[in-house]
Amino acid sequence: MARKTSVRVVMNRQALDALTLGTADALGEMAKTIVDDAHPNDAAPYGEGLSEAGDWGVWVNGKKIAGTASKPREARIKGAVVALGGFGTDHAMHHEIGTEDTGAYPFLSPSLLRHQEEAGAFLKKHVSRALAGPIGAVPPRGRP
Amino acid sequence: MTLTDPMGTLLAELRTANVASKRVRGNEPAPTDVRQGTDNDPFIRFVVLVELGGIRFNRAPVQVIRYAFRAYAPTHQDARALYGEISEVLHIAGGRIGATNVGIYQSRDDVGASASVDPKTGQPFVAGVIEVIAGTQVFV
Repeated sequence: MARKTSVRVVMNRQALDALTLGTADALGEMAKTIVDDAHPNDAAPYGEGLSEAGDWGVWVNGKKIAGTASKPREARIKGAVVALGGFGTDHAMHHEIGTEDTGAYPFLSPSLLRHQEEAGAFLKKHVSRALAGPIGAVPPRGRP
Repeated sequence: MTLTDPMGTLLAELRTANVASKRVRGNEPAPTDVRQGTDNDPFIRFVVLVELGGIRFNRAPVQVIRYAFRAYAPTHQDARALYGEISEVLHIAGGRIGATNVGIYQSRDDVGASASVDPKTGQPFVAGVIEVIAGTQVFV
């Protein structure tokens, strides 16, 4: 379920250095682009709500810094920068890879393959912007 | 020359390794695979491989294709074990040429296991993704 950006997310962003923030924002935009460009078949009964259920989020050291998605329960986000995007409905996976009596209709993987080569461009855009911004390259003392 | 399809080679490799008693299917299960899970019609092990998409390199004669596989079994534990058998056969298996002369440079288990049940029959399965780096033309 998508939520608004909270104060905690804003504070989490302010605690990051420019390079990490730029990297995280680049991954976030890439995840958003992949989800936005995925075209699920929304024919009933499988697609009720599916086309609206795509969401994404970015976590740095386990703290959310961008996006509206809630962390999936099984996702491990303790790494440095983790971006997750996808469709959080029960039937999205069955739709993507098929079932015993229904063929597969891959909609998210093709979008991932279309956009994975753009990772460098996203990084260049966001890291350049972050390094030139007011946050600066030197993080405050005692913060990551 | 036509663009090669490595799925047949992957199916052959899994059947050669006797995964799920050679019940390894492409795109959809065989009619005899799908059971209702009753005492008279118990679930059995089988594997379904589907293509998720791929990209072809612009200059090198290479393509990268992602396949999803669904490892069905009577129980969740057995489905996870079947997933492990598939991963053992295909993960970092190295360069090889299949019986139809399709060349595979590398294949790897990409995202790990994801457990679920079939929405209609309730049979447990574990899904995974295999990424294959293959040639675009057959080796002669």
